[in-house]
Amino acid sequence: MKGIIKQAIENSSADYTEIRIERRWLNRVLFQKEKLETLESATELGGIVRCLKNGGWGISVFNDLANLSKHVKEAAAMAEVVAATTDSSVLLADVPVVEDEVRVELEHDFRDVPLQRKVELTQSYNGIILGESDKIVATQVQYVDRFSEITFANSEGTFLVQELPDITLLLGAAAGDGKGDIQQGMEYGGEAGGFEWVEGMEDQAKIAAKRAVAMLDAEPVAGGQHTVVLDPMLAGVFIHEAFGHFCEADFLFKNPRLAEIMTLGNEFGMPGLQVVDEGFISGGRGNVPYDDEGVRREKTYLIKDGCLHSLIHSRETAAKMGAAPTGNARAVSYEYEPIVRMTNTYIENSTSSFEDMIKNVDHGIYAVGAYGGQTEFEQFSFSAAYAYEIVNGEVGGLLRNVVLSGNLFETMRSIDAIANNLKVSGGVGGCGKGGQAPLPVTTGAPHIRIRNVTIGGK
Amino acid sequence: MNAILEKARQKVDHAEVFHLRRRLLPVEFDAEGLSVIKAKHIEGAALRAVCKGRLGYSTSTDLAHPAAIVEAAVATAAYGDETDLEFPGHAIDPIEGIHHPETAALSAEQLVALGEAIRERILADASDVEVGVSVQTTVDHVHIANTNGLDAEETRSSVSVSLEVTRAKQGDIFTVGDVYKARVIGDLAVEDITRRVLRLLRLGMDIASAPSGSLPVVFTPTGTLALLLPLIIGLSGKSVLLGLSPLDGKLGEAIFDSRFSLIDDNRLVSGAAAGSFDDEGVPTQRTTLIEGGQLRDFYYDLRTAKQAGVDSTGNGYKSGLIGGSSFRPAPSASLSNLVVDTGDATEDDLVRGMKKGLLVDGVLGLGQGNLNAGDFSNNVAAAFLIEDGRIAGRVKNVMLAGNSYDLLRHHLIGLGDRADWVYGRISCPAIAIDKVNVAAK
Repeated sequence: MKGIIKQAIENSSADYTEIRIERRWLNRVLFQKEKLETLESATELGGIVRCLKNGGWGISVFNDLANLSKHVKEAAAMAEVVAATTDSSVLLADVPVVEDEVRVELEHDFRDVPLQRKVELTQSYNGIILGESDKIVATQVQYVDRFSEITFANSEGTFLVQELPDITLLLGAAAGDGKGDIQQGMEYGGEAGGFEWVEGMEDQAKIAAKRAVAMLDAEPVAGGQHTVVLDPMLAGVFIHEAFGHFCEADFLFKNPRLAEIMTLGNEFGMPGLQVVDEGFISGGRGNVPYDDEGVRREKTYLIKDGCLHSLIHSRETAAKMGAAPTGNARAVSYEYEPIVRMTNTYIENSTSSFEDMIKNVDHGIYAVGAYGGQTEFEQFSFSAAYAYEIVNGEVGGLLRNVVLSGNLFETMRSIDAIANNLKVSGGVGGCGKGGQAPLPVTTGAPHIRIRNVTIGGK
Repeated sequence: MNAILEKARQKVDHAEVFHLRRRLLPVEFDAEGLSVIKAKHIEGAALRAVCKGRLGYSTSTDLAHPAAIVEAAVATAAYGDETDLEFPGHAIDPIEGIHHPETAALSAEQLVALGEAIRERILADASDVEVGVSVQTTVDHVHIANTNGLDAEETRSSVSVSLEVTRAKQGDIFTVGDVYKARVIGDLAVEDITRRVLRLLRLGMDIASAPSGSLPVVFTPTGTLALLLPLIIGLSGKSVLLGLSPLDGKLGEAIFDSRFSLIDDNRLVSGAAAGSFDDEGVPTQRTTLIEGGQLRDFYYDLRTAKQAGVDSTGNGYKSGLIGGSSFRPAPSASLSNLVVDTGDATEDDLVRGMKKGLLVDGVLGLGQGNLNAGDFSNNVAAAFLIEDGRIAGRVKNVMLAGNSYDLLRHHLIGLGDRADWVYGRISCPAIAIDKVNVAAK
């Protein structure tokens, strides 16, 4: 294969040519209620050619690998049409030429685990949830494992093969009161790891079920402005979704006026605020030893001591901004070109503690976990999975329908306490951008406290 | 394709092969102009196999090895769900007009020309914005065959435009987007495609201070998604089976205002989901879900229909709840083209009738809130203050909350007289609703 790829690149008429071939194996087990809803096994093999010619990009995507040269030609032809139409000219920042092979060794390789074991384990968690209470009306218990082998080569001489494992488990429970009210409880996570990671989750299954039932008695939150303490999971999702995407340099190109706000050195928060994107952490779902342009991983401080320190880049954005590539050009699969994406993104520890944070709060909200969210420029909106009232410095009753929203920049400035219990976690899905989803990432933070957050409610 | 079915026939009791050959040609413009052209040729197959009464499923893009696809499906069937699923053998009644060879033959240059024209039209009217445009042709060749004798294939082609226009000034960022789909490029007139976006940009020029309280809201067609999403979930036969739908057991009952009607119609050629058969080879049909406020039907794929003891409504799709499709996911109950009946007021009439309220064109965070119960809770993306029947500026940092079942039953003010396609798949008029909970920061 190496010879064929190198040959196809050599024959290219473009100024720059890259080929990425991906082979992917996936298994998925999904139980809903008593039923094994989905059991599937998938194999993917596909490729993408990206050509730069006279400063314009052209791309060809294919499943039929028999004629690589045809697709190189097609991508080069598309690039010519772009170059003929537009004045703007793409340049790529210089990076070292690398030849490397990154194989993974998993403690308990899920590829060696029989399908039967995967089904039985998933079923056992499903059974625990169903058996927890007669109020449980539905379950969603899903196991997914995925193993990718990616070959990357470009016309500068880089040739890489790397393996990326990914395993996730979702333990979802829905409880009903019999009068139409349905509430959810969910525990979930994922790892760039082996099968051992999804074993021993019996307690989490119980917790998910118990919470769904408890949520039936939770009070709807009163809408308005509140002091809110975010748990590590929700704070991590917040920093990724609301802030992290603004650090993606390609996003700033498309929004030059926003780029002014995102000027390096600008103050975004308290001096104790440090935000990091790191291309490799132990077991991180966002791990990319090399990104999809063949650039080696970095640890990048997005915010250092409260001020904007660095953006994250592809080779194209780095060249345009005169910065160094950060290894953040990622594609969700061979069907897509790499764009600037986060990897493992987290707020670093500071000095406060959860107890200190709530001690002086007369009335507030402790918001835990995330059920999704959305941002549109500086406006964000996130649902907490569940929440508690904070009354006179103590955690009180369970709350529901807690949706946080607001303006990113105001909210970042309103963070007034950061704890010392950083926890990074990979969700079960991933991040979406530019039609590319779900891209595995991890997010994390210690507990953080934010003043004056708008909470929607009735 | 046939090799997979033949190999499967020897190993399993019943089998169904779904084969998709897809060609996409998107040309993409960013703020600085044409940025990239992509030619995508995707081809993959999915095999559902029933072995000793158990269901197995595999997908692959490696079509040169049909035996491997069959083996993977057989392996999953060994532990698969017990099923009495029967693959359909019905005759298909083809619909006309979903494939135009001239659409499939559109060149990159032709798509670039349309994109350029759209960009220029917007910039001529609003020079202070960034315009993102993507023009794309999609040509899908779908082929389904099963061991019950079905062998159906169809080519479906379309051309689509997505637009995202952003105006940023002094820390304020306002963005409006739109998606248009058509069967032939001639139906995508630049004036039609840019009208709505330009109007919103004009209306959004001034910022108004946002109101709070229980207020009337006019949802434009794109804004209605917040209201409709809980219904899309609640009307699924799957939600009913799972005991998650509050509509369970209410067939025939008046559950909404009598002016509210909802139809799923995958034979509607103007809708992006049109086809002669669904992704399980079931002939498509027009399904009345809500008629005059009364619950008439739920929508089903083969498996949920079988469990519920009814017939599939031809809503078995390999896609998510609203849109997207691929050969990869197993079919599940999904809506196709959803049509909300129009009323008799213009959108302007609805606005004029309000002393104080909001015009909501888009929300953030779709899917938040307890959707099963009908609750929605969203920050607005594009919304405007209505004062004394007139638009008085754009509002920011406003949360909307309510319950779709309650609002569409008790607080429907009126429906617009003209429907627009939202994301190419939901045909909907403006909907005015009273007593929506509005919280401003």
